[in-house]
Amino acid sequence: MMRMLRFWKNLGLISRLMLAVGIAIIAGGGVQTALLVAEGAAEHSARLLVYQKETLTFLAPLVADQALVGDYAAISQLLNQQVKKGEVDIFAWTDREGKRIVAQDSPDKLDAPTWFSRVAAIEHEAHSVEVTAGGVGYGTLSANMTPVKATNRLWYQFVKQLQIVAVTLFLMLQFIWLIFRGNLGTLRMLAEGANRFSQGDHAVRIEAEGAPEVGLAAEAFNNMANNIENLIASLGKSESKNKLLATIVEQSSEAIWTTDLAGVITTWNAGATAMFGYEPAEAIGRSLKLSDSTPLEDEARMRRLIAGEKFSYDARATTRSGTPLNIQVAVAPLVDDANRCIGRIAVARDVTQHKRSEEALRLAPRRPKPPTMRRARSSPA
Amino acid sequence: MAFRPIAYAAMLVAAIVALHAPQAAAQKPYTFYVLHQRTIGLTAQYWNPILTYVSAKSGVPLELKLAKNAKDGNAVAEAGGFDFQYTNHFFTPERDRLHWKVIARPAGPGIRSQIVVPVDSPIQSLQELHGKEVAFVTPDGFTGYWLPMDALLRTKVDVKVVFTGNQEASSAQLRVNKVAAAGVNSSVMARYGRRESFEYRALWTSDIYQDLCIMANPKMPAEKVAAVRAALVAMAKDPEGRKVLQAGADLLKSNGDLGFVPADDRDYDNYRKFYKTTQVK
Repeated sequence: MMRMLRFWKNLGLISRLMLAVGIAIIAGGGVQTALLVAEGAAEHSARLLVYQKETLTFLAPLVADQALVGDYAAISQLLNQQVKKGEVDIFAWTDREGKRIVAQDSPDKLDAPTWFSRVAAIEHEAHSVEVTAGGVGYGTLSANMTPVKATNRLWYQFVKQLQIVAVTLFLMLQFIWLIFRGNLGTLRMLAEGANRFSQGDHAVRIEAEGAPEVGLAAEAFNNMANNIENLIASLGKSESKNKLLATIVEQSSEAIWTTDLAGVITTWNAGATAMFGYEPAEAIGRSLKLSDSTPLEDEARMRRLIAGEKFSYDARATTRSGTPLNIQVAVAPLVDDANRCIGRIAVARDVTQHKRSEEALRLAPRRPKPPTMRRARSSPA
Repeated sequence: MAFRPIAYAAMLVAAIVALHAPQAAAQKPYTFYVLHQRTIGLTAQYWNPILTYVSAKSGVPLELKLAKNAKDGNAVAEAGGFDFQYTNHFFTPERDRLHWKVIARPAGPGIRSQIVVPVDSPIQSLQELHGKEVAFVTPDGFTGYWLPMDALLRTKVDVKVVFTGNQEASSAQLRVNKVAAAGVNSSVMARYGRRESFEYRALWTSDIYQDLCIMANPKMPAEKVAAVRAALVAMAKDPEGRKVLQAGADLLKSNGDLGFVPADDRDYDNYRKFYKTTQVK
């Protein structure tokens, strides 16, 4: 049983189907053939019996006529003629004195094998009729049938039936093989295509063959492959763009960083390191106090950001080494794929020198404008 | 279905045999030859119940004997091979000398010979049969050959003679138009016509003659002959015998008188007279 199960598990779909259909056809054909043979044997038995009785009924008056006139040669001739017809093997006429005339046909050749004549045995036995005329018996006429011709006919029917089963089996297996060869080829290509796709060959596509259902599966695979390929290509482009942006951000001289809504730094570029003196490892994951803004001011700014507003503000900051800086900070909300604010992007510019220059100008004494400026202004004229 | 009355009669007779005449079964049966005017089977079906009954009643066991044809049967009878016979062939001068004794005959007015044609035949007279095939029974047949052939010879009509073997065979050949006409026993032909629904027309009819008779071999003991004659004659008056006779009449589709009546040689003198004057050779 286990060996059979193992054998079955190792069989392919076509082999399984062919084996199952083959067994079904052989079993069905075998049962049908057996029933036909049994029915045929019974029919032949009944037919022989009817023929035997009809023959005796037909012959009895003819024999009676000859028996009445005592013409035994005519009886012998009649019986010898009749025994050669049909399926009678032997006729025997016994008169009331016990005189017996026997007519026997030469035996027929049995074409069927012996085992078949045993399996499909055709019942037959001798039957007799009393030959009478006007209530007076003149003797007994008996007949025995030969089943050979009937057995041969049954054998030929059996062989023909087997041929039909064999042809049906052959055609069924051929059809199964032809139908499933194309379909299973597509399934195999699907499996192979999936493997290749998983190994990075995103250009693999399946040429649909066979039944519409299999074609739909191949088409679905191809659509999936197309979509994934497009997605991967799109991801590649997006990644390149992101890399470019990251590089731009990273290489920018401006201090750029991002925080989450709680103010924890999530990215920190080289410009920020240069400006504030904190390395990325020191800044990222921490909530650095970079400016002198009050918590209320920070909270108000965060609300504006959450509302989607972009703005800038000036602030005083302190570097890691304690150096004060004047910075101008431009902030914008950091949004996720759903366009929800998840933090902020900050770009800071050191305006310390600019502030000093402005302060110096503001503190310097007012003087008339130098004439060169006027000349210069009027020179084009 | 037609044979059922015969079967009942046969069973009845068998019962009579068993009850009344045990000695008959023990004796060697006497042979009773019947010149068959119908098929052998039909003749046996008709006569066997009668002989069984007569055997039982007379104490003389009788066994039906039939021959292939009249010639064979007559030859055996001429040689004394039968004890009784039912015939009308034994009134020729040669056979008359064998002294077979007439003991009984069927009841009824007697028989005639006829030359008949199918009812729709174009032949209207004996002269029109000239050169045509005419069926006759056998060369020994009285109503089936001697009488009609004598009539044809006397009218100078030369026909092609076809012997058929028995009366009903002649009727059958006429029915299927194998012959133009047939010389027949009128009563046998009438029964055949009724039974087979065959309509025919007579071109010629003979004088009346007594029907076939039952004759006893001159060697038969007188008391046996008398017993058989008595049983035959009494048969129609006995209810059991009448049943047998009625079954036989039904079988043959006969509507004539039932049974047998006593007869003697003188009743057949017209046969003897005919044989002396006939032109048939």
